[in-house]
Amino acid sequence: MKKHVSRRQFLGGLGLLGVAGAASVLPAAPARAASSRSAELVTLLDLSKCVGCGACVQACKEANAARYPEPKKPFPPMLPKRVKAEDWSDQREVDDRLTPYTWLYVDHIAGQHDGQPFELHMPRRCMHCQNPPCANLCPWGSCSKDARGVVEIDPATCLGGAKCRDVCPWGIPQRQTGVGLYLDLLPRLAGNGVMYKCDRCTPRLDQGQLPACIEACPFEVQQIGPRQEMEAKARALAAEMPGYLYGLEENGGTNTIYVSPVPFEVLETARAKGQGRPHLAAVGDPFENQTLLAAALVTAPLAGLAGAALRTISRATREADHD
Amino acid sequence: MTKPRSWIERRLFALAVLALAISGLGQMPIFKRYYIADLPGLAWTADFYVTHLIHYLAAAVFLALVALRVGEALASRRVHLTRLQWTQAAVVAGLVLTGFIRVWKNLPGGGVTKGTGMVVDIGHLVLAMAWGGLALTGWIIRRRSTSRLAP
Repeated sequence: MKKHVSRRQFLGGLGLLGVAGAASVLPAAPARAASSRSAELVTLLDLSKCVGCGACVQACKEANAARYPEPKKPFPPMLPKRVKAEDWSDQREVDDRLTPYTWLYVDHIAGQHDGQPFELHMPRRCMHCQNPPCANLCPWGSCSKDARGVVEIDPATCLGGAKCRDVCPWGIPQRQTGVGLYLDLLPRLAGNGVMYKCDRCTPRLDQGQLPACIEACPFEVQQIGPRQEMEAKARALAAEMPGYLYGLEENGGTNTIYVSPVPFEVLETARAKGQGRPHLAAVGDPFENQTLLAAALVTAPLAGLAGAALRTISRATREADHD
Repeated sequence: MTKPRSWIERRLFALAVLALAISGLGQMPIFKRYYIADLPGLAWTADFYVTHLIHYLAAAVFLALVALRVGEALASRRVHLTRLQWTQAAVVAGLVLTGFIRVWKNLPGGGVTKGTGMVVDIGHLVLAMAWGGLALTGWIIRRRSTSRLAP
């Protein structure tokens, strides 16, 4: 007796093909509503106004002093020996680089441009990237970005592995050993403190206040506002100056835009280099292929389902022919 | 009846799971700390962008093979799983779900709230460890029953 492909088997195969086909027309990576992106706040810094007085640095330290780490000493010994403690608790006054106690510093840059000497002062702190690698790649979810575009590290859950600093193109977050959750877990074997950086004075923002550095600046170097508005202002300012922009496209786009009368390549050459001193070189988007990869991940199971459907149909057909 | 899996399919699945496990562990800053990245040819284990990419690619292979198996099982309408295997299936489903939320988080227009991000990140890690534990349990049970059946 000739055996037919059972309707159940055939429909099973077709059903899988249908699921695979229907799902393949779904958008692979739906973009988040533009409104949430436009709600992000951007800071615009006009470097032609900054005189390097340091009022912003002082205001930052005063506003955030209560949140600075108070490490327990001596630090627990860590294994292996290559893991070194990073302790800034006795150097809290350092203000020429980023530290766990200096979330903002002013880089004083002097040099020559177009045959003319220049001296510029550049407040440096977290750029608050639009698609921040520190928040995306933190293995514990301790680093996050909120709807206002603020990228913050939760000191209660950060283990101080410093991955955020490693993946940050500017190496912004700074570690303090001897504080945080790792002390209650496996202090010898995992973690090394807590990472600290600017979070735009989140407690102040939560109360509707401006970040301390913006409020304290006597020359109104910084402005803060919705992305679209700040972008337009930055471009207009650059055209008027004439000046150069940094931060708009860097690392896939940041929520900090600098406008400078001197090209940033020149500033990068002239600035003092070293750990805790973010560079000014161009930075590509580390996640530029992310949408493509996400599409591959959505497509892969559909391909698997299609394969299962074809296998089922072909097996059933073969069995029917055989009989 | 579902045919036994081909050699290449089984090896590809094992390779994808191994790559996921290594690149997943590599998301934690441990390979550099514990000298793994110092071994010749393993410097890439300390490059978070490289392990991130490997995790995505291995996940694509893994998802395709899992969907293939699930699809064939559903089409045959003969799904006979032990309690342990059902538990494993639930854990893998959780891994896939949390994995996709992480993928969404990393997209240029994506993102999740702070609390969700933490639950998803830690959940993904815990589920991966649970799956490893369940796989080991299954292997021990199979080994024991095989040795009992041996003459």
